[in-house]
Amino acid sequence: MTDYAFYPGCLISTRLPFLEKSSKLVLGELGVGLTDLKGTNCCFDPIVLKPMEHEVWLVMAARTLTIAEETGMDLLTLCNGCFCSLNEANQILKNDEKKRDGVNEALKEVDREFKGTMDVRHVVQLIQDMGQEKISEKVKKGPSGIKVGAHHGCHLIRPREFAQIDDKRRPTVLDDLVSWVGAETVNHAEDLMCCGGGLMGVDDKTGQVMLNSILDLMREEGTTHIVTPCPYCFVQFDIRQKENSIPVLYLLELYGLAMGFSPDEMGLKHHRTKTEDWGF
Amino acid sequence: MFGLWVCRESSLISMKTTKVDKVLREKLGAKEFTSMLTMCEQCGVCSGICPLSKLTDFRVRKIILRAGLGDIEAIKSSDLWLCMMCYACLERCRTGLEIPDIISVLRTLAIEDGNVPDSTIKVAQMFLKTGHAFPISGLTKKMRKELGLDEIKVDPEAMEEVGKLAEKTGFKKLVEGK
Ligand code: SF4
Ligand code: SF4
Repeated sequence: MTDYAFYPGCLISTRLPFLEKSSKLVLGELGVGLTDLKGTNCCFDPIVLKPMEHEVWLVMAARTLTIAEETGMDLLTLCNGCFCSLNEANQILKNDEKKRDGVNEALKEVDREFKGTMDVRHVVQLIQDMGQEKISEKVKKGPSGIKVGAHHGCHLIRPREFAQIDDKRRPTVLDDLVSWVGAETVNHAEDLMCCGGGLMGVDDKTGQVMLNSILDLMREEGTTHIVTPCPYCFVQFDIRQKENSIPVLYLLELYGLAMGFSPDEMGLKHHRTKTEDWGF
Repeated sequence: MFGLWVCRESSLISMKTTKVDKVLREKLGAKEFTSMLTMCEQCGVCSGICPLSKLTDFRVRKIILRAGLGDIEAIKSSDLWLCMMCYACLERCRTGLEIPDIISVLRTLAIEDGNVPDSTIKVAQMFLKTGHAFPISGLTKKMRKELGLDEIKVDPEAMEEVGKLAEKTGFKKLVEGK
């Protein structure tokens, strides 16, 4: 099995280390080797930092990419935002000579050079490539009586030109991955709805309205658990539900439960949305 | 028919009441992504798909119209900061305008002009201070230890590089004093 240069993303490593923990447990079980990257910087996230200045984004993203290149492995991230920012920058810099030259000119300042020798991968792609059979083999206990509201998150699938993960009008890749561990998903047409996380700080009220509109749809369909592969969406769902809260799981936490890891060792007690019943 | 007419008229009204800023128009014209601005058909597909438009009166079509005209409102308005960069409109504009990238160019100009939310500047300052968008707090350290994860710290060598690049790219100047 391939090994990866591991870049969980700064939201996970600082605020949600329990997601890093469960992901490491699951990936270890699946035989994936991870080398923690040292000295990286924030991916220059697609919502707040990148839109402030695109050229700065390319340079800052490139710096982290060069650190991954030094390992000779592909970069693996757990975060939609990091995937979106780093994957797009990586592809642009590989294909656009003029931009690559401009970025490398800036990187000379710190004795670095973008070479374009590796790919950026989201953990969802890694699992997709492993395939259902390999995942099912590892499932120790299936869930009982849970109905999952699958929330892909914008930056897993868009821009489609760069993400190339799922190009359907209503994406289903997450529904598939959830079903591989035996869980059922509800049908809710939230394909293009954003969790509203990006509005927090700028306009909290509107961010909350966005979130509620998704929650309403999920509730109508009888959702018992929300599953997302994005730590930003995770935070939004986990800390900003006001009442009748639906428990939230990061995709690899769901996998961890199915593979028999206990809520304790995965640190599920750190979730704000409390529940006794994780469905396993 | 009637619907179309109303749509056209609202565009006309915006044009009539618009103060066109030549400098802004030149600045926008000189930037990448914006060369197609004048090709916007004002069809409104972007607003139609935008999740914000479903819930608020934010209309990205108007932002693109203002940018195309060189209307200074395009960088003065607080609406500019509402877009969540979900990229839904990017996938739908049949004219092929890179709408989120255009909004980004407008944001850079708005920051230079002093129009930027505090929360955005705070993230940028955190980045300049730590290289990350979030602080490594006492709680982070405690949680990581308890979970058996390695300790993370602000890396001085990495910060030296980030600082140099922030200087070189003009990011420091853009953010400072805001
Ligand atoms: S979808 Fe494209 S062409 Fe239509 S109004 Fe929006 S930016 Fe203009
Ligand atoms: S990227 Fe911004 S303007 Fe476009 S659909 Fe999303 S929130 Fe609306």
